[in-house]
Amino acid sequence: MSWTRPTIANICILAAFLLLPVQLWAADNDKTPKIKAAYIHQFSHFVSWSDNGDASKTPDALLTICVMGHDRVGEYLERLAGHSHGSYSIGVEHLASPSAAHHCEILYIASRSLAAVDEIIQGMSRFPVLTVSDIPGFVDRGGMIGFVLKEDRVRLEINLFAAQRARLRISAKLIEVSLRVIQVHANGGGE
Amino acid sequence: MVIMYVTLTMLLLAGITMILFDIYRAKENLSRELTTQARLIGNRSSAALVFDDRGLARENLWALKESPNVLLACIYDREGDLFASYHASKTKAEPGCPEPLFNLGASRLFDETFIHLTVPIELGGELVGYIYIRSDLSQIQERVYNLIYATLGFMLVGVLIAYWLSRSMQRLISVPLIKLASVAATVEKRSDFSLRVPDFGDDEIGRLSRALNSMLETIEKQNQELLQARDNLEAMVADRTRELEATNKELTAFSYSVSHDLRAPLRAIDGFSHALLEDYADGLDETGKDYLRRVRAASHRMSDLIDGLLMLSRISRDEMVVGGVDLSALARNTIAHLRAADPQRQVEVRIADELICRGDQNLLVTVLENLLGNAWKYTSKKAAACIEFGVTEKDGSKVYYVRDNGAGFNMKYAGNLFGPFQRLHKVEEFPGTGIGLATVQRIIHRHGGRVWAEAEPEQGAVFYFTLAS
Repeated sequence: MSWTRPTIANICILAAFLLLPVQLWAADNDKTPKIKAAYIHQFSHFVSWSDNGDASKTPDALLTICVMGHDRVGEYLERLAGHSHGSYSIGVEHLASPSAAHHCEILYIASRSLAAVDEIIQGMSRFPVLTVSDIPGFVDRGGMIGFVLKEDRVRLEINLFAAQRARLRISAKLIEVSLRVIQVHANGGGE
Repeated sequence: MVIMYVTLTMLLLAGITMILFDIYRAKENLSRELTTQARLIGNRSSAALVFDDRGLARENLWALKESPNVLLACIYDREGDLFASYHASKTKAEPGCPEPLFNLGASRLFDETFIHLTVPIELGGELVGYIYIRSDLSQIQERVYNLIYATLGFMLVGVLIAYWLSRSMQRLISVPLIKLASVAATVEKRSDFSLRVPDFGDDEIGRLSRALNSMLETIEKQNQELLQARDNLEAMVADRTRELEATNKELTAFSYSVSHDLRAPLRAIDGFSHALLEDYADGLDETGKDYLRRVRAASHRMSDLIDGLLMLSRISRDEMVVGGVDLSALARNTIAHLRAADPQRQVEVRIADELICRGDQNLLVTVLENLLGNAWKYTSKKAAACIEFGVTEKDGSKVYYVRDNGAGFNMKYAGNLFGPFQRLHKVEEFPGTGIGLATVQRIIHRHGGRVWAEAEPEQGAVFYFTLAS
């Protein structure tokens, strides 16, 4: 057997190598929403919804994650519904209007028009609901946690001011892993 | 020496126990400390793990550079894949993080030089990853070496203290005891009671030495008193001896002069009696002649007495000339003279041979003449007379004797036997002056000897005498 005579197996391996980057990119592309969904449910460990309670603990042992709009992240979140997560279980609800979002612990806002987002943020700003979205500039508009991509990794941005206004306490650990933290009112001055 | 061995062994055992215990405790402490650190870092890194922030995890691990013993620290995700690592040394000569993590779960492993510690990282009761820390044991090793040095140091100090203690014990007990013993031995050997032991302080040894000293003092005082008493006694004896000698000399001189002076009138009495008897025999009847013969006999006897007294004073006065004397020869000579003077007597004489002694020959001749003469005289009435001169042993010294089977005497008069002018027989029976045995006694005494007699009437007598050896 000599290397000068290519076999079918060799050709197949070559083809596989040529196709690999495309495959990896496709996988990456597919992975981002899944990672975001995983992150969202991990937030419960670093956010405290009651003033005196510690992180990762909800009063009714049920963590409700609400989703507005439709995207891949929402789909992955739905798969988490019913899972037991440590001491509590996860519930996932799809909401049509933000008025029903007051009982949620986490509100994920799928890509929407910026005006609608402003409205939702405005409506939720007094309730202890953690608002999360991957809309660019989400935290600058008063959202609490935003996903951004940096070097193909999903990173976090946090608007600490918004969280504090909603009487949410965000763990320093979460702040540590964040790319950017906003401490003052985004739209020029607090109330 | 025993103290030292015991001390050494105890110290060694204590040291080994301490070191082993300390190693165990140090390892436990180190592992506890590292576990705490790992938990802290793991806890801090949980968000980094969950949100895939390797930079933060690495930063958290870098906090370990404050712990110089930590060589390597790694954070793994929950599948055991490496997430972040920290190397203490820049060279990376050390083997890196084990990949994949060899043991999922909490573990602790000690090998020769390292401790390997794995702690799981949990978040809200859920496993999110692991932290692995490899730490150098050189700190513990160094500690162990320090401990060994310290133990050896302590042992050295202990041995020195034990040595010092035994030395001071020796100084406190052995040295004083040796001194006491040597003083006691010297006192015994030289009988020098003026020796004293030094004062050794207020303890038992000190009391013992003081007791010994006071004992020695008492003995010395008594000894001195004894010596003084002896000296006094000696002086007294010397005084008395001098007095006695003087008296004796006077007495001898007196008896000599008296004896000498008595001779002249005696010669006159005898001479004129003789002349009267020869020249005027016609004018005297038989009674007158008898009276004159009695006067003459009495004067002859008196002359003999005077001769005896002169002899007695002479033997007391004359210087002794001491030399070897053959008593056997002297005895034979004396017997020969006696036989010649009395040739008709048949006497059996037995004289032992080789009776040699030391003494004054002239004086000893007088002794033998008297004793053998007595034996000859007192056996004169026996048909089978027998005289024996020999020697016997009594209490280790030689005792010469002269034995006869003659008249003998009653032992109750033995005390008078040797006094001058003492006679146990009548002159008519056996002639004699009563001076002979006194003379014998005086000569024997001058030779440092003793004379005594044993006898039985009509059975004979034995005269014993000794001479100073």
